[in-house]
Order: sequence, then structure tokens, then C-alpha cells
Amino acid sequence: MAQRQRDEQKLWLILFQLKAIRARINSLAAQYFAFSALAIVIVGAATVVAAALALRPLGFLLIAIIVAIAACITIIRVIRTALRSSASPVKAASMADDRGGLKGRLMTVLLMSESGQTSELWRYLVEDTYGRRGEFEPAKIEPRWFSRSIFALLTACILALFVVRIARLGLDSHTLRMRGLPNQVTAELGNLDIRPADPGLEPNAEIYADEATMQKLANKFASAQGNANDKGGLSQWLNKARNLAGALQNEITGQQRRPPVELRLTDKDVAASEQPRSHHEATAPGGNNGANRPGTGKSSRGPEPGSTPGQMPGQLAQNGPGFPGQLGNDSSQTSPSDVGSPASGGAGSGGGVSHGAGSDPEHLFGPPSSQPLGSDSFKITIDAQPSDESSTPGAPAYIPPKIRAPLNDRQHEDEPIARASVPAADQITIKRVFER
Amino acid sequence: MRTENEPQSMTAEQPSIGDFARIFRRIQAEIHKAIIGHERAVEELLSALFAGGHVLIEGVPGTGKTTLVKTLGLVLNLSFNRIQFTVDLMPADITGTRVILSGADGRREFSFQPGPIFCHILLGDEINRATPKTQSALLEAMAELQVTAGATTYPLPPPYFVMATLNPIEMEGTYPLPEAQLDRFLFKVRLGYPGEDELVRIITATTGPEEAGVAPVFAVEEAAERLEALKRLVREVIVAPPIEQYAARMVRATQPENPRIIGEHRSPVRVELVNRYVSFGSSPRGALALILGAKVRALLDGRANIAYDDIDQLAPAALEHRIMLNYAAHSDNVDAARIVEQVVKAVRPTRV
Repeated sequence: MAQRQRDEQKLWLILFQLKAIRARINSLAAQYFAFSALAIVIVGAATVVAAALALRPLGFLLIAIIVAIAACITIIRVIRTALRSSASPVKAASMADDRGGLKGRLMTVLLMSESGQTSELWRYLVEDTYGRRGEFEPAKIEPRWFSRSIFALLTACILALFVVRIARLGLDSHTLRMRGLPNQVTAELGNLDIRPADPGLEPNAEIYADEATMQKLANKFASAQGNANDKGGLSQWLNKARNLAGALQNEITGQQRRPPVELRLTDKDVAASEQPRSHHEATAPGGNNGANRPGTGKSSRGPEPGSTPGQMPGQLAQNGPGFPGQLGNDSSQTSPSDVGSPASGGAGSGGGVSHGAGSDPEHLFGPPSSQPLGSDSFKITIDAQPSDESSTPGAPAYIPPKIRAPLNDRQHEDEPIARASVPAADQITIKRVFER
Repeated sequence: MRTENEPQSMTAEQPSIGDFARIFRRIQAEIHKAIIGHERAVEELLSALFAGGHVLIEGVPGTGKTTLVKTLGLVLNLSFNRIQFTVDLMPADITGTRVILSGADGRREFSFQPGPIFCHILLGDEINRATPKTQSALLEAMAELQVTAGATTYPLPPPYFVMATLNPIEMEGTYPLPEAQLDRFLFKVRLGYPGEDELVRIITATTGPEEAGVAPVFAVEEAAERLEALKRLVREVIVAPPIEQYAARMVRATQPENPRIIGEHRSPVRVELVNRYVSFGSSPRGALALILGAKVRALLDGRANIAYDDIDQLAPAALEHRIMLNYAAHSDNVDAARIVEQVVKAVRPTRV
């Protein structure tokens, strides 16, 4: 009986040691899976982020798809390898037999202990195996605590940091360059070379111009796209893909769309045709022709109902008193590219000129307005001609911004007041003053 | 001398694993006093003896086949007979026959005279010279361990061990053993030409005045009993199920893919050479030979269990003579040894 108990104890110790071996082998298999999968995800994510930072939308989308497919395939292979590396009790015993040189003892003990062995040599087998337990200690069979795939994970982390950092540096330099670009650009319509843009580019400009200039611009668009044939469904799908990729890129990189540049178009022909009228409006007393123009002579800051946004700058420019154009009547001598300047004699300038000159008492008063006048007063417009070439090779041509600077730093801003209707009794008095 | 890990014998009559290994090595050593070289052949021969099987020995003349068997008989101290098979040998010449004898009282009666087959160790020299009828008489005795003469069955005394020799040359006028008969031999042992050093030693040992003194390992009265006890010990060796599956898979891998022959169950291991050059693969006796021979090897190694390598080491001896090759193999000079080698390589990855 005692002998039998001792035999059972020895058997139990052998099986316990086998369990420890199996636990260690399976732990390594689990670590292999975890570290490898994590490394794949990190490298894949870094590649996608780097592509988002460095590539155009379609290129980014292609890279992202390839990376996703490759990552899925690799993770599946990692799973299969991890499953193959894991060990059932029999497999663990067989591995221990091979590595410990036990020639099948452990596997036989494990399997026969479950089946109730009746052989005369069973005790001998247990005794013999127990006597060799030093040869199948877990540390001897599997000395590693950690899977070697941890190095792959560490390498992946370092690589990811490096790649993202490099890509981020590139983005930062690009962002710095973009910051130097002006928010407002004025251009002459006649100088513009209009052709279909890269579909990958998002809309990045708002165009302001008067109605005639807008119409001319539309004609120019139509002629530019006349030869560009519609590519049909593929083009639409590509555009959709680009939009999706672009949105994804922005999500990943956290970049906000740059506010669109205000592009103000002028047209020499339109300016020339309106100059005599503006002159006419500037000299005729009470001339408020501008009041009849849509959106002109109004003390509005924003776009008027029924007016086009392209006329808004003109309105802003004209509605304040003290316009340089009003003083000198030299609208024809100002830069033709400045549509907002009242000196250009834009469509919206007539009313303001007529108001400021006071030359026509009969047309002195305009209709009441609920919105206050603009406060662009006592400011001078500094304009410059655009340059065809850039100092940096490959960079776009420099279009200098229009600057409005105050004449007097200590000048208080006008407090705009809403135009109200002049009482009839007062109107007579005012007219009498102008007549004198 | 027992090792530290070795337990005592279960009973006084049953030898221990250490006893087995000691006796085996001693028998081996005694045999090598008379037989120079052929270490592997001697080990396989003794393995077949303790596994309870019989051995087919193939070798050119003069390589010591007869000397080997005779020496074995001397070492084991068991009765030994030799039959030289010839074309005109009759079955009764080997099994015995009934003759009319006159008794003391003058009465005549039939009496069975046992043939040379009645012994413990039998050497059948050049069995392929005998007619199929005579061959079958011997093979019946090997399989059933008994001889039937007339209406009487006479058991053969255990242990019974037959070694049949084949002369691979001089095939004219011979009757090649059919595959079904070859299958009854546990192992096929090859005795090749000795190397130069071995030949020198042979010359010295056999041409000098002194003869090799071979000492028996067992006493006469206990030889049979002890040999039987050792054979029972071999049967006690434990075989794990994966090992049995491994042996079965190896045997099935020798069978070509022929639905008419192998039925519905195809071998999971596919060997190209088998499909191309083998007409018929090993029978289930091949698996028995692998396991029994592996048990002997395990005991020699001091183990009570079989390992995969034991099976691999015995595959050539256990399977080569059971594989029937087709004409393509003969024309391409592919022999069974190469087939078995490829089978072992193909099956090895399926180990647990």
C-alpha cells in the first residue's frame, strides 16, 4: 500500500511537471501572437498615418488598402503559427521527450496514466521517468520566459515613431509654407489662365467680383472645360474615392481645411466702361445712381439681398466716408486690379461718391437702411501688381495682398449709424444748405 | 548490476529489464566470438528471436550464414538442426513421417519419426531451392508451431526459432518464395561481404590452430524456460497509442493508391515512389514486426516504452521483404531499401 502511494505520488509529480512545461510553451505561443499582432497593427497604422501626411488622397487610399490587406493576411498567418506553436498535453510531453532526450517516456506515462495501465513494467516506467525528472524541468525544456517576437514589437514601435515623426516634419514645413500665403488675393481676369484643376484639390478660394466680371469668368470656365470630356462613371467613382480618402486623411492627421482664399477679380474692360459713370456720379449733385444699382449705396456690410457676393467688397469699400477716391476723383488712375477701391470706380462706388461729393442736392438722400454703414473710414488702400515669377523655383507666383491701413493711428473708428429717413422739414433745410 | 533507477523484478521468475539487456549483450558477445562483423545482422537476429518471430537471412555464399545460426544454437544451449533444401526434398523429409516399426513383442505398428524440424532452433539453408510444397511444410510449422502427420498433430517445442537463408545468386532452378510466405518472417537480415579489416580477422580466426570458444549463456535445463521468460518480458513493454498509430501509418504508406486493393481508406501519407514502383505494400504483419522489434530495442535501451526512433530503426528489416515491386522498379533499378527509406522520411513529420 505504501509502495503504491509512493508510486502515485511520483506519477502525480511527473504529471505536474508536465503541466508546467505545457503552460510555459503555451504562454510563449500566446505572447508570440500578442506581440506579433500588435507589431503588425502598429507598423500598419504608422504606414497609414505617414501616407496620410505625405501623399495625395488617392495615393493614400491605395496605400491604406494595401496595408489593410497585408495586415489581415499577416495576422492570419500569425494566428496559425501561434496555434501550431501551442501544445496539447500530449504534444507538450512529446516536445519534452525530444528536448530532454527521454525517448517517449513522458508521452507514454501521460497517456497510459489516463488509460489504467496493467503492464508489469508500468511501475518501472514511472520510477524510471521520475528518476530523470531533472532532465525535463520546465526551465530546461523551455528556457525562455518571453517570446522573441517582443523584439519585433519594440522594433515596430521605434519604426513607427520614426516614420510618423519624419512625415510630421514634412507636414509642418508644408504648413509653414501655407501660412505665408495670403488670405486675400486680387487678380485681373484678363491675366488669369483658367484650366480644369486637379480633381484631387478641394475648393480653396472664394471669388468676389461684380456681375459683369462674374459673367466673363463663367464664359472663361465654359471655354476651358469645353475640351475636357466627361470621363463618365470612372471619373465619378474616382472623385468619390478621393473625397473619402481626403476626409479620412483629415481625420487621421487632424488637419483643418485652410480657409478659402478670397480671390477678388477685376476686369479692365468693366472698369473702363464704368469709369465715366462713376465720374458722372461723383460730380453730379445728389447723384445717387448708385442707389439704383443692386447692392450699391447701401450701408450694408454683408451681401444685400438680391446682390451677388462678388459685389460685397465693393460695397464695403464704398460705404465709408473719406474714401480716397472721393477726394481726388482719380478713379481712373488707381490700380485696375482693385475692385474694392472706390477709386476703381466699381459698380458700387457711385452712390458713395455721390453722397460724399454733395454735388446734387436733389439726389442727396437715399432710402432708409436698417443696417448701419460700414466703418472703413480714414484708411488708405495699398495695392501692388502681381508678380509672374516667384523667388523660389517651383513655387506659385506671388500675388501680393491688398492692405488697408489707417491714415492716422490715433483716429477713432467711426461709429456707424443706420441710415434713417430724413424728416421732410429737415430735408428742406438741408437742401437749402447745399444750394448755398 | 542494477542501476539506480531500475526497480526490482516483479517476481523472482520474471527477469528485469536490466537482466534482459545483460543477457542480450552477453549472447551477442558470445556470437561475435565466432562471427566477425555483421553486428547489425546479429542484433536483428536476436531481436527476432526474443520477439518470437523468425528470420530470413539473405547473403551470398560464404558470408557466415550457417555459422551464425549454429553459433546461436550453441550459445543458447538449445537443440539445433540444419536442413539443406534441395529440389528433391520432400515435405516428409523435414516434418517427419510415419514408419512401420516392429515392437518388442514383434508387433508392427506405425510410429512417427519426427523430422529435423523438431528442434528449438532450425536453420533452413537455401530455402528457395526447395519446391513450393516442401517450403509450405516448413512455413506451416513456423506459423502454427505444430506439425500434422496423418491424423495426429505434434506440437513443436518452445521456443521455436527458424532461420531460413536465401542465396540471391544462382537463381536458376530455384523456387522464389511467394510474397505470402515471405510475410511470415519477422525480419529479413542481410549479410553482405565483410570489409578488409573484418576479412583479415576472419582469416586469422578461422585458419589458425585455435577455434573460437563459444560459451553457452544458459544451462541446458533452463535455457528454454529462461528464453520464454525473456520473450514474455518483451511483450510487457508499453506502447503508447501515438506510437501504434505511427507504425500503422508507416505500413499503410507502403501501400500504393489502388482502390481495388486498399479499399476505401487511403493512406494519409503519400509517397511518390510507392505509387510508381510498388505493386503490393506491406501486410499488417509488417506493423506487428515493427512493434515487436521496437519493444526489444526499448528493453536493450533500458526503457519500458517504445520511442519513435525504435520504429524508424527497424523499418528496413521489418518492411523491405514485404514490399512487392513492379517491373518499372526493376527497370529503373529501384530496390525496396530505397522505397522504405522514403517511406520513413515521409511518415516522420506526422509524429506528435
